[in-house]
Amino acid sequence: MVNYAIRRLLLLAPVLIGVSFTVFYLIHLAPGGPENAVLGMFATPEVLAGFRAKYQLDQPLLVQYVTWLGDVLRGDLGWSIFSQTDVGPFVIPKILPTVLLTSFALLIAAPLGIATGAVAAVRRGTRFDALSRVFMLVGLSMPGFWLGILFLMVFAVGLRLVPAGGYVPFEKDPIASLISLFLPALTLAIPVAAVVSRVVRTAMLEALGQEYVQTARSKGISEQRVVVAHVLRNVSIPTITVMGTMVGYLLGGSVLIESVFTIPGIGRGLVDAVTNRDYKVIQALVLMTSVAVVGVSLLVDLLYAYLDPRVRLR
Amino acid sequence: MKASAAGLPMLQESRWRSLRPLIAPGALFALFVLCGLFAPLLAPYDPSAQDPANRLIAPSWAHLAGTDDFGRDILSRTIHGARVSLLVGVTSVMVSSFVGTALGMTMGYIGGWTEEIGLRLMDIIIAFPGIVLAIALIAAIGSGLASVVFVIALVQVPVFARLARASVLSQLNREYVVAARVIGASHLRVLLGHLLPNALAPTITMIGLSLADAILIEASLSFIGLGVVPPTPTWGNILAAGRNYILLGSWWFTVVPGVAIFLTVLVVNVLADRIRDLLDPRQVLVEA
Repeated sequence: MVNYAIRRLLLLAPVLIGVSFTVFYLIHLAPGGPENAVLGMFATPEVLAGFRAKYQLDQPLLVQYVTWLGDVLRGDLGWSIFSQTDVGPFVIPKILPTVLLTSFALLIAAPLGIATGAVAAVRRGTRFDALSRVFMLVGLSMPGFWLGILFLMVFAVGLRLVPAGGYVPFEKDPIASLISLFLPALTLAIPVAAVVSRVVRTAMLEALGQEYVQTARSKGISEQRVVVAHVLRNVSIPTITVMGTMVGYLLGGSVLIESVFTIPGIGRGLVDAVTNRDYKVIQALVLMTSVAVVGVSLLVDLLYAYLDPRVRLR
Repeated sequence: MKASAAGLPMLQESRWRSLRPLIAPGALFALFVLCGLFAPLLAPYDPSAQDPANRLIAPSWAHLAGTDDFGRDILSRTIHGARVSLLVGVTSVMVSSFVGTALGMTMGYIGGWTEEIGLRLMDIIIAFPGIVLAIALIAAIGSGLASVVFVIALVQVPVFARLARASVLSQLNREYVVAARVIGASHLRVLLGHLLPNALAPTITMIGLSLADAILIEASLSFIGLGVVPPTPTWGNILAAGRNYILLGSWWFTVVPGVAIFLTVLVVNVLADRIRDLLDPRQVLVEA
């Protein structure tokens, strides 16, 4: 297990370097190059020269990258010209709302997806199975931001059950905060639940057909126990894998959902930063998101290896 | 999902019958494409003709889907919006499936360092949530039709590359491939004549799923103002404009373009699903 973990960590290094280089290079793609991207189009020649010297823009790209990476690792994410502030303190408060939103969504999606998928598999061919398939297709085909708007129209404008958007900070009032996040989390959870449900259903059907299940049944064990003790355990591996891949999806989806529900998280921050051409903030937010995705996929792989010894031996 | 119809697509007599599940979603998709192609003929109004006297009019016989904040006919704008969605969706998936498959097959065939480097590059792209990478790139290179196609294609390349590589690896040591090499077939001939046909089935299914995804990404980008720029109507930017009027009760403004996105993606997903059942009978047997 330790060997596997070390190997997996080693594989991570080139990916993290590639990801950070991509983020670093983004600003070089911007119109006018990095100096105009950071200082704006109206910077004086002296200011531009000072900036070039500070960030060693006349040096080879690789040297610039290493300097930048060093700064980032020391926690210096640069200066946001638009907000006139250090990027670090500006982006850090955006983490909590996004983490709350995505975890809340995962907490809704996982039980919903697993339950519908499992029941659909056990009751294959029934009306429930057919309904769950419709749910999967609809969930997958629904644009999240549109679903969010529909929810707002029905629950906030029509029924007046919840406020139309707006986020209550968690540190101010945790309960009110979670209530304000319920609708956005539900919106984000539905497509994820659809994917999970589909994976669980297929994996269950496969497991139900295995010999060990037939053996268990022929021993006279109740069907309920067969499902709980033998089938669900084997379904856990693909389920965990798909949930791991869904974290990236949740973070991506939160960009739009946060914009619809005006939640001051990473996603909305990214959209605002793009609108304001605030490249240092864009860099910081994209870097944080991708490092989170890489970290979660590492965790999932380790969990996977822990659950399924065959993976470690490969 | 009828196993009897799709189970053995190779049998001559059932070949045409096995295609039957594709007819309904295929026809609907063709209808959307025709809508996009003939938008100027089908749309009852000029999609950019403003009519200040008739702003935010609810659906009526004159304006079946109501009007927007400039008095423009929403049905006409939605019909025209099909052009951008389908054009971007189809073009980006054509690019990503072609580039991805070529890359993946080359990686799998050559192996060694080429494969290792290729795989790591794909890992890097996958490390970004698709929409986040797309937004960041568009922020850097600017918005517009070509940028949108480029970023969506880039985001989708890894899926096709991995799929093609896996398929090549599974066939590389089969007797027929070895035999082809032994009788002196060129690398290109082995790749295109022997390995490609085996990679096709999963790739075709993935093309369908990626098309659905591409349409959603395009709509998302337009929605946050990073897609094809107004006044060209896209489903995403109509929705974005309409969003400001939901508190005023102008539901049609967001519902109509949303339904267009939803139905198109749904039809594409159903089509992809049925193609998968057709090409991979094992899946059907497991599920049935």
